[in-house]
Amino acid sequence: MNRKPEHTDSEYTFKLFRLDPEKAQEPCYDTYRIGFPRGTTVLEALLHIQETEDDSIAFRFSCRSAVCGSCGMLVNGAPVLACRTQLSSLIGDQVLVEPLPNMEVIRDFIVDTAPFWKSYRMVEPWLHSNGDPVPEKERLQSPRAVRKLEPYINCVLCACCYGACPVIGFDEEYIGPAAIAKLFRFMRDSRDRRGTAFLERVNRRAGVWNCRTIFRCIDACPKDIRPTDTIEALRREMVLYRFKKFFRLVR
Amino acid sequence: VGISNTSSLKYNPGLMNSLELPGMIEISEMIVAGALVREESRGSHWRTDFPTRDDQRWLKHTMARYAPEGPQFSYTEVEITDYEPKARTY
Repeated sequence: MNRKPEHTDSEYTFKLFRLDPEKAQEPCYDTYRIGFPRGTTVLEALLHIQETEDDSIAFRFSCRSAVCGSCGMLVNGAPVLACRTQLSSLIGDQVLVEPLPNMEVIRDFIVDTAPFWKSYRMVEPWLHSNGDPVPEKERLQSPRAVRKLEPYINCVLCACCYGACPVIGFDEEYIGPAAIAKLFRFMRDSRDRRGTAFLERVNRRAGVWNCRTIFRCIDACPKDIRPTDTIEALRREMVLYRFKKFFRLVR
Repeated sequence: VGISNTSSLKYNPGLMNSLELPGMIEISEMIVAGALVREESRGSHWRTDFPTRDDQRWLKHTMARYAPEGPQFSYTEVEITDYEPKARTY
């Protein structure tokens, strides 16, 4: 019988961003050289380092399977979920781990996601029935109508796109990709009655108009959502809405 | 687990693990003890010494209670509504 060769560990050099704002003003980097078997994820490596080298390394995680969206961080400069990034997928043996940008560091890889959630709330990410009678059971939807929403429902709110967006870096009021993609998801929902007028909410510079179509959010999304497309789509809809309003085609 | 004394209280993983560990050990003991009593296989509860499901004896919920001498078990009826239980064959 053919046998696969024995698994041998590959060695990696981990460079970990360390900052405890209560103890230091400036971050420093801790370095470890450790071997891991093929298939090891960045999260598993961090847990191992936390267990065997330094128990003070702080990071968020929960599900280990890319559904909870807790472990967004920068690995070799790219915003990723640590749990779905295998060491073997990185180029070379250097593993630089840092917190997501655009948010304040609470400690090590843990950032304050409050501005991300503030943006998210702004688009009222729940079903607006606007007086539709409450059905006895669920509000039914055709499979075709569901398919339109499916890519956007997959969002796990990891804030990788929020950390990747260069606009948020210079305009912290900017609502960011995830919130707009979520608004788009509800605007396209056959059960939602919020109507086009709701778009006024994001019809401002810090709303949809400050996006510079740099597409970093599309690169960053671990669920292959394309937030830039939704921003463009809502802009088009808004312009069309204005025209219709001008010609008294809508109220 | 341990707590490094150079670390602040904010998001201190060593401290968090230390606080969680005693509870985890107790819960683990409860799960293992409950599984040993349940002499069958059902879903993810899978025993090589009892490889088949036994609805006659074990179609019931295990209820565990804390006692200083170890977990205490009792059982309650399963309320079956629209879906009859059947074997997972995938």
